[in-house]
Amino acid sequence: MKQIKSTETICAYCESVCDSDIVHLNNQHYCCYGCATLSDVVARMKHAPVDIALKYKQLDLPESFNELVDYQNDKLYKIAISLPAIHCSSCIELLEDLPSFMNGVLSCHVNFEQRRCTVSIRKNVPLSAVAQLLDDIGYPPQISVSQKRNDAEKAINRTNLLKLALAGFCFGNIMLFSLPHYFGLGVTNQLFFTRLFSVLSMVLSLPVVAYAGRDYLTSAYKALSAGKLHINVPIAIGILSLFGWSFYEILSGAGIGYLDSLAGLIFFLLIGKWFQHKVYDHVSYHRNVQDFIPLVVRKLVHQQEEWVRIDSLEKGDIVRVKNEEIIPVNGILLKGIGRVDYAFITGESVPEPVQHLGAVYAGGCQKSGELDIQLSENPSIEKLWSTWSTNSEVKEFRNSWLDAISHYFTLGVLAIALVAGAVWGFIDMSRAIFVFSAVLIVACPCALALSAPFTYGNILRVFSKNNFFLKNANAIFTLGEIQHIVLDKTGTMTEKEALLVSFEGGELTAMDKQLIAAVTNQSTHPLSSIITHYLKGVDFLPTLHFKEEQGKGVEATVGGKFIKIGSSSWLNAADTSKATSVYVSIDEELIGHFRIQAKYRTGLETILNRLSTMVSLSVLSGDTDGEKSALHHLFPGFKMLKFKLKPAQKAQLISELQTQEKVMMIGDGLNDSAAIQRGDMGVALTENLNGFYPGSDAVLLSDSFEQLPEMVALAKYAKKIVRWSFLFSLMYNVTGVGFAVLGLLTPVIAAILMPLSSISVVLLVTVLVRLKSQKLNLI
Amino acid sequence: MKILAMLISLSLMLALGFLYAFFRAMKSGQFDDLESPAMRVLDTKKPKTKKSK
Repeated sequence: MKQIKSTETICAYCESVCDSDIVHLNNQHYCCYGCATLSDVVARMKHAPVDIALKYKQLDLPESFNELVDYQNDKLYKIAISLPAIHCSSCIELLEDLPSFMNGVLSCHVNFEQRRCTVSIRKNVPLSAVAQLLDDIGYPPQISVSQKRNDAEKAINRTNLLKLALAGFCFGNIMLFSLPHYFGLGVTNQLFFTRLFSVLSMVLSLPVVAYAGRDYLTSAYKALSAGKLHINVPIAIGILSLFGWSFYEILSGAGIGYLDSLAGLIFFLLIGKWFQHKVYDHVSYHRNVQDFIPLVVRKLVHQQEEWVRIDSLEKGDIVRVKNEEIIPVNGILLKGIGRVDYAFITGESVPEPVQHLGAVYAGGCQKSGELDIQLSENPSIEKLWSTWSTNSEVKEFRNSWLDAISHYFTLGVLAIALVAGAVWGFIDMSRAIFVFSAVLIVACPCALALSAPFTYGNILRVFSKNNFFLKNANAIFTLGEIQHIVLDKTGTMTEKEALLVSFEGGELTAMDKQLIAAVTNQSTHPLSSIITHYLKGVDFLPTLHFKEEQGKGVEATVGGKFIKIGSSSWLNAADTSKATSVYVSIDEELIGHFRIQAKYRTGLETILNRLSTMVSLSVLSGDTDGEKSALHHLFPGFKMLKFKLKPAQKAQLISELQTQEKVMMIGDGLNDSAAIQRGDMGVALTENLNGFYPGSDAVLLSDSFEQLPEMVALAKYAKKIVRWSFLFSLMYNVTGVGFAVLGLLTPVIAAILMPLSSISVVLLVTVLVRLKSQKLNLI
Repeated sequence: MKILAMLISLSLMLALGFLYAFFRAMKSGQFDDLESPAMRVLDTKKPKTKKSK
């Protein structure tokens, strides 16, 4: 029991009686931290946000706005907004409370599964204000036209569920009508009931084939007209022969057909399909470059800021870029302190200082205050896009192995059916057609069709539990075939924006720290700020004669001592360290150097070692080679260890590797997109799922990087599972075809064999995937 | 035995009725979100009308 400190205290937010530890905030009492935080947020958000980020500003442009809203009249508009940050029930509570703390928001309804909410907003409130507010309270919204396109897919999901329900319904009922016949219950002796049951089964089977199973037939038809044997071809043959033969049997009065097996087959196939789609509910791959690059910019006209679309800009125009915004154009720096992070393009995470009148490039992110930039050329979205992605074609995954098997399977079954039919033709012509169709019916590729979707569906689920999201189920097959993994360094092997700073050359005294911090604090150079940050907590002493030499270092007199901080050559020190180092001298006496290293992910060594048992590993980095020895020390087995590479060079190297091996590239979303696109499989490693990952085939949340070796192992195992389940079902097929060839296939045998093989294959693969995942600690 | 025929057609009608009900529910979006309503129940906040602010 919790200790009761006080009764009779009412929570200022939820108005319930606080029964346990009371939280105090701003002279109010709250029953829990949740209420306190919510109340605080609500109080702060009473007013519409003033400073609206660029990326939201563009939502107000009429062109975009009209495309985005779902409904509008002259009073209000309605829009569905994706909020990937929605996490638990408190988020729902907060978001649905939106109307109470933002004027103009009329209602808000959250869909948790899809991580989105539908908001009604009064016409006079701009969409950008709502978007900014959502961002401010920790739910950065994704509003884009491409997002809307995603909704079309949701509609397809709904249709799939409808088909599934219909097939399930018909399957159950047809099964009930068939049972009396199989078990020889009395009613079947009466012709009336046999007829009734048969006719009802026929009626029920029509929607199953015509609606629920239509996709299989059309896709098989398409494959055949293209001259290919797709996995759907044997399925379609199975469906049609079951359907045709059953109708013939019933209408000619020879029997009751196999309509239960037919409905069952389609039902199971649809379950498998639905299962695979389920995983994708809250991951969206439909983001494009416009979601990232601002479409509108602040143009300076007579020193006044004016919002314009980026394509209306011309060479010579001046645009203003605020702190932490992405530079939308190539140009010359006119005003402001340029510290531009080109991590998106080069992968180098340390911001690059830009001089007055120096060149800045589109795609960089400004890190220190406002900039005015004069355009040096006409802007072009396409060009910007191309720095990130050489081609945006969607890679199509083919399960070549499965396609090959279905090819031989189809041919094999057709051959057996023809031969058996021909042989029977000599013995008894009337049975020849029966045997021919019986072989087709019983050899129906249930296992073939079910084992792969169910194996992959199960694995996709395991992966998504571990925050690894594949674009496509067949990508698992490709993942299982990967022989070489290429890693990016910055942001992939190292933690983003985390640096390991150490001082080498003896212990720094408190006085030394003060002296150094006093000097570095004066400088805006990134390395200086890193050192200042490292020495945080000391008082800054006044400095005299501060001087910064570009590319060399800084010097100043502090407390009567002459301090010099900078590169080894500037301080005449021997360069002993391969890593980025900053040397320090006090009164011309060298006291040591700061070593600035990237911080590798925890457990990286183990991860690499485990991966190396399955694949070869390489590192391609856009960074300087300062970390080369450290990396080599960490894991000596890299096949290739290259630095200072441009995105295009990375992609080129991957193409070279691909001549011999199947290559997977792992990098962080943007700067590696060319390489990610080029690899047989490209994985974007991101901190959150609302990032932008052009060309990637899978997204891995960086927290789950540790599980990668196990997931690769599971994917490799998937092929084995599918193979075993094939063997397993082949036993059924051989038995069934045996009966059929001999002309002994009675409805009872068919009715037992067919569902049994489907169900047992589904069970088998599910159990195998579960066991293996448990063994690998993935679930 | 003929009574069976009636029972069977009745049960089939009933089942079709349920199937129709499911389709209706599906089309109206009841199955689009299976998680949030369950969480919404846990909302401890009293209706806004009671709040004096």
